[in-house]
Amino acid sequence: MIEFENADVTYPGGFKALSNVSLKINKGELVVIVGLSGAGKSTLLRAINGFVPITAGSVKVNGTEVRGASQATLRELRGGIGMIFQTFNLVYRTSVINNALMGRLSKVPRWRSMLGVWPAADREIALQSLERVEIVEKAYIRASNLSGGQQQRVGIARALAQQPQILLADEPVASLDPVTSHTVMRDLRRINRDLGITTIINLHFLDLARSYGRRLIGLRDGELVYDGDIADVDDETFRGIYGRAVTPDDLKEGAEL
Amino acid sequence: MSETAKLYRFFFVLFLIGVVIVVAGIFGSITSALAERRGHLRRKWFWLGAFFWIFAIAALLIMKPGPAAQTRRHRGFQEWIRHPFEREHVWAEAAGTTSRVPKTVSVITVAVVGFVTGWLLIDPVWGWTLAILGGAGATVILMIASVVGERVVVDPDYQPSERRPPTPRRSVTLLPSLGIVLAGFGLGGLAGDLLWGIVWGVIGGGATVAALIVAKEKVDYLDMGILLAGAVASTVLTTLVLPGTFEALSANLSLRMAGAWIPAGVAAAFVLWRKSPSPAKALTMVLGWTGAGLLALPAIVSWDVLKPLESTIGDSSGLGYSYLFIGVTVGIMGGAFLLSGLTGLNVVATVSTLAFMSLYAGAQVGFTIPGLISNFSNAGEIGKLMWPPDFDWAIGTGQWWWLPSWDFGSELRANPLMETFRIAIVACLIGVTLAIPLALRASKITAIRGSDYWLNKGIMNVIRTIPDLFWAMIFATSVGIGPFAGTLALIFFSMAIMAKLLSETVDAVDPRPIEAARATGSHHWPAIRTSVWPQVLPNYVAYALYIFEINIRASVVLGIVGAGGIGRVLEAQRSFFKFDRVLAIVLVIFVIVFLIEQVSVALRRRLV
Repeated sequence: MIEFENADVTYPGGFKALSNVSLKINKGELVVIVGLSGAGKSTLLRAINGFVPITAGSVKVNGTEVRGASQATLRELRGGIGMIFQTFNLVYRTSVINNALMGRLSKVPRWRSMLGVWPAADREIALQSLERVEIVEKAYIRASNLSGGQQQRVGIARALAQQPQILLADEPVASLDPVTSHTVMRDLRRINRDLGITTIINLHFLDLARSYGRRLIGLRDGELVYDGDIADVDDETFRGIYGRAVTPDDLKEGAEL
Repeated sequence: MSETAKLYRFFFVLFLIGVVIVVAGIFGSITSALAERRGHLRRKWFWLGAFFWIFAIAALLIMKPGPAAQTRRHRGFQEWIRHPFEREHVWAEAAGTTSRVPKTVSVITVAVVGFVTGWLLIDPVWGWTLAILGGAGATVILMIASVVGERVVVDPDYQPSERRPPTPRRSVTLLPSLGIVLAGFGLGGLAGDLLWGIVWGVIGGGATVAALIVAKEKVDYLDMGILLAGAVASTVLTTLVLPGTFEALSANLSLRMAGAWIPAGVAAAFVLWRKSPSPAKALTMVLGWTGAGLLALPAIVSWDVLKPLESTIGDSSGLGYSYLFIGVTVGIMGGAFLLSGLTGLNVVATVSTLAFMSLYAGAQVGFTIPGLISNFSNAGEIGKLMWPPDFDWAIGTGQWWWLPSWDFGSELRANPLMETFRIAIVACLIGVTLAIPLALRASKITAIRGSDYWLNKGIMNVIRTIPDLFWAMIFATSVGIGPFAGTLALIFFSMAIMAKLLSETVDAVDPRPIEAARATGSHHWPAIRTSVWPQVLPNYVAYALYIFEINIRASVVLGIVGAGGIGRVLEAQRSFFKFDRVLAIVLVIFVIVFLIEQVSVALRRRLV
């Protein structure tokens, strides 16, 4: 369970990225966050695993206060939170399985990861997470040899290898083409359903949000402007979030809403 | 009873044995001190006891179950000691977590205990020995404990998919096999037994060749070609346009010359601006022409080659033709800058700049073509002394690299040439290894924090500013003349180069995977190991080979300041004017260095 209570994030330059956000995300939920660039989507996501420290209020993850947490607490917390990135953030000069094994870093002794001697059990977990995103046949291939969609699936496998309770996806499909985007979004939805992992996805595209989300959170200039069931969302709501009418640019496939 | 608990019990017994032996040792030493006898036997007891003690304390510290703070608060020491025998159910919970005492703290504590024990009971050397042994032992125990404590969390009913590829056999990578070759020669050399070195080297070399065949990585020649072209061009230009010193040359004159070329620079910049409006390129152009003017005067006017030319033509002023040459030179260089600006060929700009720099530098150190020619007659004299090279003396009778045939040393001492290479190998291995932590902490991307970065950057820069010969002098004075001093010197030398090269490579890595690794809740160094190390590894190996080449060359010279190796022999024979012997040594060195470089270059090409 993730709880935001009057959370503020002010960056060192004075820019207020989040202001007075309060929300509660229950275990096993699939939440989509939408908003324009700079609305605070990434900040909200990174406040959950402590990458961005909040400056006021409180953020609790499974009852642990993230604000002002020690490095050890943060590491333990992050061990249970998988993260998926817009730019995949893979290590391209090594194999796919080595990338997936990075998800096990918080679970294996340090000397093992330093020497690259991974326990058989952890290798198995990495392989299973690759199987879950159907990329296991590429396990021993260098990550640089994969296509964009395949790379993002390795990114998801890396997060799954953590066996997380929470999955944070920061614009996971922004650098993918429409067809691949759907595959990756389906993967994320399946993972959420099958494994019951709380999944929070930042999306820029409204059609994807509508097809895959259940609960929608709208951010505008760092403020929470919408939080509710995606079935109740209409064009008026989106206008409220975006501050303007929806245009084809806001859709992944460029079609009318 | 869990596995961890069994281990704990084992080490606890070890601890008790240690206590008994140490107590016995103390008694023994007291009695022997009373009897005023030297207690050699007793010292062994001390040592043995301390050894057990250290390991046992390590085990108890490391394997203490449950959160340490809780244990301390709720139970006394006696309970804690009894713990593994009476409270086994706690172990089931704690089996995976082993200890909450930070592992570094455990290792350091054990090392300190070892140090104090050794120092108090025997002497400081034993203190250091026990500290190292204890630290290493504690680390090993930590590793064993973590393996024993591993909990398998895999679903036993899971069915692997059929698409899963077979686990590939761990391919023989370049690094381990190369390590074997070097370690083989190095260890063989250290042990004074070349045979082992050869055996290891052959095994490792075979593995290396196999690895190369397996790897089949493409070679990118473009960078090398560009570098080579730049190097050759600047070398040719430097050699062709070598000036002499011109004492009457004034800065004023030079500046005026430079000023005269500003319009040309502005014109060129203007032309360039029309093609593509780029302030940077325009500025480069102006600076290029001005710089050409500034440097052309000292270079051309002091060009001694012109003097005889002018005297035959009859120009007594000595500057008439020089002005022509100034014009031509500046024109060529300025044209080169213009061309570079127009075409974006930075190589041209670089080459012309380098040519001018070397021109000026050559003038300042009096390196001139006429000087070279006139001095060649002297070189001819030395040539007569050198020829024929005394190979009989240098190589001996077929056993030159095994039995020493030098005037120096005895049959017990290895051939100085081999000594040279061994110094290079050992120093390269150790230096290059020590450079890894230094380099990673001297890069902003991978340093633990800001202070860590500045500290290590500082250390790195200090080590780097000291030249290899100076290191050799320091160590020859502090540890005595001989190969050990040379090895120490080259260790620092290699460490400095590698730290610099590697930290700059680390600066340039893709930082996004580090964020991903940190997001998984990893500690700092494992995150760096998995996200940064694979990115820099090929470069690291290439640098290591390069440093090995440098070391080979450097170790030849090191002997001159008394740091062992062939340099000592070379210097001695030169001072006796035995130039035929010197030439023989130089030729032998040349052949060997050439071969090693060829191998190393070939390996490096396949890496990056």
